[in-house]
Amino acid sequence: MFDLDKALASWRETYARNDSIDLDSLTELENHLRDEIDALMDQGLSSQEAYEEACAQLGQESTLNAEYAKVHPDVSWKRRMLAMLVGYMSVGVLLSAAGMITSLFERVLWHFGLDKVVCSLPWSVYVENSAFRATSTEASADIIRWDEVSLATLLTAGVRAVALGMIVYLIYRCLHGRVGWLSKLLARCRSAPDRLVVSLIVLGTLLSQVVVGRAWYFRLVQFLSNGNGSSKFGMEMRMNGEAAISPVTIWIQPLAYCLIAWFAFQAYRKPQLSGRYDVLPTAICGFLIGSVLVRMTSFLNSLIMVNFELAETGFNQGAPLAPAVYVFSLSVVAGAFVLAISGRGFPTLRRFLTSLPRRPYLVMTS
Amino acid sequence: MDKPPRELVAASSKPLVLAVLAQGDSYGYAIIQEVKKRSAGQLEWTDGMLYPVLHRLEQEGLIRSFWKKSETGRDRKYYRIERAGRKATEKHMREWRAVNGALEGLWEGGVACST
Repeated sequence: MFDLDKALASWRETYARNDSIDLDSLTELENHLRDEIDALMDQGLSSQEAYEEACAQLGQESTLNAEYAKVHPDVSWKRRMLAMLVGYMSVGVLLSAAGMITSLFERVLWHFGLDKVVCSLPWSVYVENSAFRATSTEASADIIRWDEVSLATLLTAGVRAVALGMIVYLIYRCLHGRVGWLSKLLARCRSAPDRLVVSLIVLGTLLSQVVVGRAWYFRLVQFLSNGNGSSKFGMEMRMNGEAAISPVTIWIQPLAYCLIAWFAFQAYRKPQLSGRYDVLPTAICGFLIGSVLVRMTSFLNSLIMVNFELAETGFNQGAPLAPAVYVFSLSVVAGAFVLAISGRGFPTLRRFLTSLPRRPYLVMTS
Repeated sequence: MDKPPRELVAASSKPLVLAVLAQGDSYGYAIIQEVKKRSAGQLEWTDGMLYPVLHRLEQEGLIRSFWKKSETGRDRKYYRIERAGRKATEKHMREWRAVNGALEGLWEGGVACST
């Protein structure tokens, strides 16, 4: 038995994969389809016949997408940027989580006096640096002490996890055109559901960065009050999975490169990959671009802190000016994103972006 | 009778949409029906193609859109003509009348059917 609602739902899902047709346009087209089906059924056609006839009259999906792309060249870029942000943030959250788990594990081991085991762990930074090993062991007395710094770290991870969950959920629902209860909320800002999502993401990112900034502030206070503070640094840097040069990065980055190579290969082999596949490689691109930006920030950071004790050890994230630099660069990037996406600024950038070939991974890897 | 070629349909889509909207607010499906009716079924668009045209007109500031609940309870995107749109309609009218007048004048002289 033909189920019209099911057929329309599946039609919507298929069309939602066209990267140039946004949610509003999709609703508009669906309403058109429904009107046409109603009219055809009034003429005596069965629901299935009416559905098929209406779909045929609507035109070819690919041609339609191409027409929409001419009028709205920015829609596909908005989607790509969303996927990029998701990719970047999800890796950040994973790294934070992994860093927290490993450091918790180490703390527990330390608590039971197994510091030698900790130092021999394959990812342990203490092995590489004897000074750190010594100071860290000294600091082992208050290992399970949840001071303000570790609370801030927990808070960071929590905020990030919530933000990420929210983002992934929103993107998933929006990309598939099934917004459910969200449609009521989105209906209030009909003209710009994409913009709403972007604002939420930027807000979430900024919020989490504020918490990171707070963690840095506490570290700084601790450092100044301790005089040398290196022992605390040794511990706390391990606590903040992102701030420390996490060993997980070493594992995830090659994996990300492998994935991106695989998708690039797939793209060349099967150029007709549907929109659903576009999300993952784009997300990975986002992670790589984000990582480059963060590394640039670290580099700037290391230029500022020449006489800082920790600079010699290679851990340069504890610089006094780090939060300021980090927040500044992040605001610049976030601002540029928002302005470019909202269409209020950077016409040249927008023109450049929209003139690029439409396959995101080809753009990014070329 | 053959349907008009694609180029002519494409070229006339903007003036037609603006002319329909000049008579009052409307939405995509109704605009298509109106054009079909007015041309006695001669002008038939691929339905979906109308929407990019509408969006383009909106970007050009000739029309604007708003969402309204229809009698069936669905959210429908309506379009309304702007002042600039009315001006553009007048311009289209002059242009198409000029073309039409020239053709009419020539055709009145008799169409040579001998080949």
